[in-house]
Amino acid sequence: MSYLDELAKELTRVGIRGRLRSRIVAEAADHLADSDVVSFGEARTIAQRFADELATAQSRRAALAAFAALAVAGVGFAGAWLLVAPAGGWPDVFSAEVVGLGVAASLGMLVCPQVAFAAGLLTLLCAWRLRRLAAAPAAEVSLLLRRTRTALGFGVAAMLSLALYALEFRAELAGWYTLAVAIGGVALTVPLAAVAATVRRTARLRTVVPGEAGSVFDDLPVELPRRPWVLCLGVAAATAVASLVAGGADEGPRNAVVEGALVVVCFAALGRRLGLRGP
Amino acid sequence: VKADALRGHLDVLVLAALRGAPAHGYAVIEELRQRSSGAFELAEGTVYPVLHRLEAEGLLTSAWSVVSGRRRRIYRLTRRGGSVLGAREAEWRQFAAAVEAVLA
Repeated sequence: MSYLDELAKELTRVGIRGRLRSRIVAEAADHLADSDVVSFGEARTIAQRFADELATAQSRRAALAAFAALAVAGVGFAGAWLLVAPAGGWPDVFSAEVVGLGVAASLGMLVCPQVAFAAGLLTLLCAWRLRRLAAAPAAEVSLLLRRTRTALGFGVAAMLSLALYALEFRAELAGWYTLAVAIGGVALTVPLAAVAATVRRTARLRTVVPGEAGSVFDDLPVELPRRPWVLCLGVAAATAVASLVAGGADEGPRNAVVEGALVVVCFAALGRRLGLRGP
Repeated sequence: VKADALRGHLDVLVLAALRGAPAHGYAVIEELRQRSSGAFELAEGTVYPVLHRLEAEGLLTSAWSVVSGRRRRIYRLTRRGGSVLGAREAEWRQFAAAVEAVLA
């Protein structure tokens, strides 16, 4: 087996395929016309270095792209939320075409955008922390990709919930609203799905850089005691207070309880996946 | 200088090697070798992952080009790459001056 064949095989082993692999092999062939394989380095080492460095760069880029796509989707979501009033006002949740779907869509519209925003923010913080690393530990890359996937997944779920909501309550909402939200909701999932495809490609790269993944306390720009549940309760309390103030006397207390409880439940369910708390 | 010691500094070295003019991978390595008087001991192939990563980060661009009858991938510093190089260069000079002052 020639050196270039071995390099191609090693690149495949670490998850580099298609045009990128062909390009690397072609560059190596060009280089070897002036040099020799000993000076170039072992095929296995070179291929692994490609995987380690590209996984770091691509996962960072995917994190930034995910946040940008979520920001665009968030603007669309906020617009749809604000337009409910001129489109006929918030319908009774049990007046949906299929009550179960109406309730599911309403819950999705409440929970998914908030989880997507929180996961997206954590993704951004992690990408920022890793910005100077040429090859981040495999555990860090894995955490960054997990956060990105979670943010995108909940972002897509939020947009689909919105589209489903408009369809389920179409009898009580203006026709223009149902049409615009159903089309907009689906259209805004396209950039999210495109970034998800990049994340999937990056996840194929097999990195071996040793080291542990950082935690949310490493990501935060301020030094806090490393007690995850205390942080969770602090965020829940701050969210509850904000909801209380924003909701006024009528809806404030109910919203505060719901939002505070939502933070705690999501922390319990997703904390480990997002690197917020240990096993 | 061993490859391990170079790892954290390879980005700035590669960017600096491309500051003068666009070049292919082999020319980048030659430039590093000449300017360091052969002090850097690194496997030549390890420069390519750095070139690819810097391109993925938007600090370099590259394209195939025919040079002396050979098809070669030519790397070029982007504007952003130039400003990152300037910033890292300033950091390095500050660091080196501080180490020098301690060692003196």
